[in-house]
Amino acid sequence: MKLAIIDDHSLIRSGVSSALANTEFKVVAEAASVKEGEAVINSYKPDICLIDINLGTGNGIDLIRQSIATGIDAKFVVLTMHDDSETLERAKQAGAAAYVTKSVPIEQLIQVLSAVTQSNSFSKAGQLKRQLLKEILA
Amino acid sequence: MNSSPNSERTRIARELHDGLAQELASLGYRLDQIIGNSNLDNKNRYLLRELRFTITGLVNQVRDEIFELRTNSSKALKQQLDDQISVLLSGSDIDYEITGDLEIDNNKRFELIRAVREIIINARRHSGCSHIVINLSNEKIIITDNGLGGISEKTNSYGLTGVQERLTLIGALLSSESNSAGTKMIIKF
Repeated sequence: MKLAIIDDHSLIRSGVSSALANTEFKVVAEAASVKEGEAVINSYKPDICLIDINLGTGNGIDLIRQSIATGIDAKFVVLTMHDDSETLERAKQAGAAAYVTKSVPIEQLIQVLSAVTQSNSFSKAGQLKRQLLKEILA
Repeated sequence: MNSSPNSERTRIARELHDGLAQELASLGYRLDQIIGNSNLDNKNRYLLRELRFTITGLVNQVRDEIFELRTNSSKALKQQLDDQISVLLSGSDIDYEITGDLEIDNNKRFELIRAVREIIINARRHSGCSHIVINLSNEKIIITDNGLGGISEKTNSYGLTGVQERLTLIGALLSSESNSAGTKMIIKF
């Protein structure tokens, strides 16, 4: 599986990239902004894009929406610090296949990556506020 | 130039988000990489997993702090406490209930929430309790757990010194009653 990481924090890019080194998910490209992200998605055609929400002046959710609108055939997995239901809902509406918070161990991220490659249902991992989760599930 | 407390809080939230939170998260991924190394023996893998668990907890804590800094404080204090305690105790076997209610001015609200959080974190880490009651009234907040007790001799080592110091700034006082039936922490203001 070809994976691209789009995150403006280089430490996260290198951390995730090294932790995925011996897995079936190969990081083929990294990007730090929406603009770089677009270029990477178009030239490397990754199967999965791991996308942060805050991308400097840009926004990862917009990038997902645009990419899907232009017919990009990839799964978009949000990897973020945000743990509120509103952001999760926005990501879902934009067409994200999964939502993972940055606190979770790589094993859980790998489980989500495997799940999104095998099914079309929405996955999530990480600790969301219980109260808010109830609202999402209601 | 806008230097209101709210803009200052937004700035601190942004710095925490872009700095400490991301660095801790990346530290977690580095550790995951080591844990995944097949040459690692089981004992060390276990120790590193414990460390990983701690880092995950720290990332969640920082994230909660960021959320709190960004949150509009118009929410009732009881609701705000409930939101935060549900996160702090998720993944544990500890039940909690919040009884009573209180009205408090915004200057004190932030420190009181922080203090209650610290006390709950301490109870989760050290008391071995299964139930916590947070009672709110306009003069005091009482946090009672049914754990092992023993907090009075160990208050300092339990990291509550910082809580006491911060409470002093808003004219509040922290005291405790602890015995084999559990611990009662009282914040009087």
